[in-house]
Amino acid sequence: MRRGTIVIALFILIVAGVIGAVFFLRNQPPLEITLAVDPLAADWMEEAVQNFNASDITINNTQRIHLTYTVIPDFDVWQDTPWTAQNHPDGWLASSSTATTYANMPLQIIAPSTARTLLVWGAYTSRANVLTDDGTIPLDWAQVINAAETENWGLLGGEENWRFVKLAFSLPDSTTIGLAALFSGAAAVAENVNISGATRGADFEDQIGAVVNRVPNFNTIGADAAAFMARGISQAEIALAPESQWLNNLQGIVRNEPIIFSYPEYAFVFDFPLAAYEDTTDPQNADAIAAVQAFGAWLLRPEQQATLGNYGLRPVNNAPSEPNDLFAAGEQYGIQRNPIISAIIQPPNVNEARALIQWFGTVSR
Amino acid sequence: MRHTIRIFILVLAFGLLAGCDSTDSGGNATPQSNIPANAIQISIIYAPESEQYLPLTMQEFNQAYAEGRNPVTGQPLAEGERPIYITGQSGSSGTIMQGIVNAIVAPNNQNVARPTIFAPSVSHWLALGNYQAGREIFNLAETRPTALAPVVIAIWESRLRAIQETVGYEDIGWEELLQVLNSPNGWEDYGITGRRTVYYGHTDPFISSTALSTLIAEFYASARVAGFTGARLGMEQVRDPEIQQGVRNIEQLIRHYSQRTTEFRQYIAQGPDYLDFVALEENDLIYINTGQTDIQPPERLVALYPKEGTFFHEHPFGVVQADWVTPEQAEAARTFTDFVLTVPVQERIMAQGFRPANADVTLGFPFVEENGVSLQNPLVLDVPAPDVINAIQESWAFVKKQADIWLIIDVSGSMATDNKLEQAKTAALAFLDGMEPTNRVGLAIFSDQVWERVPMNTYETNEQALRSNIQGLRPDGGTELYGAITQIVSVMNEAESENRIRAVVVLSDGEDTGNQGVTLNDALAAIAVSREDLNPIIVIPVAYGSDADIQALNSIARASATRVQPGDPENIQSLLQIISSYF
Repeated sequence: MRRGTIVIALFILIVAGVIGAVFFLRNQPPLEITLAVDPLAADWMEEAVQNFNASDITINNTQRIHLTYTVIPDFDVWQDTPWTAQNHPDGWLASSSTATTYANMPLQIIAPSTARTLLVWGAYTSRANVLTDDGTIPLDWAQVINAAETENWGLLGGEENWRFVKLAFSLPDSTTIGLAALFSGAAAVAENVNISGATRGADFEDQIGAVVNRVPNFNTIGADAAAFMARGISQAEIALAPESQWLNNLQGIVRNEPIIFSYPEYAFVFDFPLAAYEDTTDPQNADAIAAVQAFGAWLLRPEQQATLGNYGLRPVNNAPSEPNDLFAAGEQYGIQRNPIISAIIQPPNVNEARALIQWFGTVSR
Repeated sequence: MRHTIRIFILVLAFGLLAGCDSTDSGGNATPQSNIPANAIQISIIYAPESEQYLPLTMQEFNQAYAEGRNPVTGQPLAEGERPIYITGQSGSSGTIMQGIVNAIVAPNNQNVARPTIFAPSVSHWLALGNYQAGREIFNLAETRPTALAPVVIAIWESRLRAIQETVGYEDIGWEELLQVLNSPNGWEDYGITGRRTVYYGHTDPFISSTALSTLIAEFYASARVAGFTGARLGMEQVRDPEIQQGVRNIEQLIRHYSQRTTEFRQYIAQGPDYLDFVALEENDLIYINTGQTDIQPPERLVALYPKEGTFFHEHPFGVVQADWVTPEQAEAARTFTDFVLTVPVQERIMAQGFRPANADVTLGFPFVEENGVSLQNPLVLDVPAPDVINAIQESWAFVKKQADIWLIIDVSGSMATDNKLEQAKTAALAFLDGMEPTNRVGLAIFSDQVWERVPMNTYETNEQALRSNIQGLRPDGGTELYGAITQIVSVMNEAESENRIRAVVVLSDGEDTGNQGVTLNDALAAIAVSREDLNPIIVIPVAYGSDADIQALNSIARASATRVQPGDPENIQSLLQIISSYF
């Protein structure tokens, strides 16, 4: 046999071998990874997971990954039904590191933050003008507490036929958003980012209790106070909600009346940490953690971070990239691409959080 | 060499083919006419008014999965994505809520529904369910509204204008409606000729969301008159005798009650002679004004958004947290909710008269002035705490308008045919089943003569006598129909007038053959005596079977502005149960 023929035959064999190996390995079933996702991240995850599954990301160089996710509120995880070694997803994208901290379970934090959004005040302009003296002072807890304690718009300098002040925020005993609203109030009352112990004082209970009592119907607000605001000024006039919810509901809200947005002095940041469940008894757990790590790394890629603005969310380290329709639309109402965030709230420990939830239950029912 | 090249090309071709995705690219699955093989099956029980849009929505949802598409995104199902199949039925909100609570607290009870999603008209029921079960059956934070409808007072435009012109302002509420009732000459003092009495109707607050919201609103209105200035009604106000009396005063406007709001749509469409105003959801008013009722209303009904405030019904989808709902089913329920909130489905919902829950949908037709609605947002009341709502519901038994009812049953010989009398007896017993103890009930029968078998007294007192007499009825003799009506209506006319519903329910299967000389005109004249009273007697004729004298019964019905109710042995029980709900 001629040398050239042998070389070509070897080349063909090697190529065939490589192709065959790749064919074999790629057609191995992918590693199935389950992810729990808080509702605040649901829209973003729907597309992110689909795109991730369509990518060729592997672990151990050959093992493909297939993610499926289930929307599970943070509260369901840390407050109601903690996971066990026999029953748990592989990963968890919570809305806030508060939730992963409160969860009493073996978690490995893969990424402390994969996206951000902030708790922001929104108020219909006619009401905001009354509370802020036509915009000469910022809208924040002091003005809202005053309004809640006064109750009636006529006494606040507004129109008599506006009747009672109507506030909105999500249920604090069921949503991280609602609990964050109470933390935000505590920080404002304590005038401090460290709110340990601040939720037990008479000042907090009196002032924030008045605010709670000015929410006409927690039962129908659900988890999205911004969507509730969009139903009209007769149902809610001022709300505290995540910036992403405001941006996604803005079109419906301003159909009623213009709105103004205001960033609280003490900021609560939803940082969307990604965690993996650690189970040393499970021989597959190392691969599962590696898969969640791969997903985390993928989410932090610049091109993935650049898509966050489409959902009203912020990248981890930068302002939302331009052009971005949602943020652009919000800017005329007070949304800022680079808000000054100098004071970030440090939530209390889980026992104090549980006591706060219990207090809410007594004051609101 | 040539041979070697051929081998190379073959191997290369083999390699290229092997490099292609070996998995199926998906695409359209063969449409399934039945439940897909590995579908996650879920169920929904929804409020009756949602029948206008949910069945078609469910059909579209199921069809998408049958075709291998995600109905929310329109995309082919992803790898590993299971189809979902949903079934559903309507049910009155209060009844279904109670059933779910019973299923939770008494798991062995097999006679209650166990849906994946409970979709009442308003979230009051979800909060009440949690309160009565003592646990969180529904996660209210995760419950999402799907269609919005304020509760309105549907009132004839002529009545509303008359009130506005008389009082000199436009902002009308319960205060002004009560003024009509208390006015010496009723509607006449407002320039409306004809009947002086105010006729109002609403449904049962244990069953109907509209009735429950209306009753809460009545308590608010009464509390304001009593000097309550707070934003939210509390237990102190509900238990206040003065405030309860105020609600009782509003309830005195009632002509009769009903079980379901959808029934009242048909009643009020008959015109101002039947009812002046009724509590409805806004979408029901649009339903009437867009000509969808059996009878076309003789003039325009308009929505009165009471100045004291009202509630919005948001038709929430509550996913049941119980052992019969798996996590997969809960997730599937969320997907169905997402679908209902898509723009095309919301536009369909809006076309049925509901305000869209999706803020991306601009409010448009049929929300136009011609349909009697206002686009301005009404004043919305604070929802009381669940224990307060519970107390309001339970207060209804003693604030509602009490009733005096004569039940007249034909026991002529013809009632022996086709098992008619036996079915009528069963139906009459069912009529009594839901009777309030404080209502007064009497029983009369007729064949050749008229017998007042059980004189009127409270149902609590009369129950045994009524039931035993009904069970002992035997058919024989002629049909003294006119005599029976004339006699019993005269008895009611002569009784001391009190502020109670006064009703005669007469069941007859044939023409009058009486030989006591009482004519149809005599019966009509007896009915006319009370026509001008504040509480005129209402006669509800039930035409039982094909030989009933429809013409005569129609005349009798017109005399008290009611309608003949057609019955037969198959439907007589449900018919009498419906009539029983009027009281």
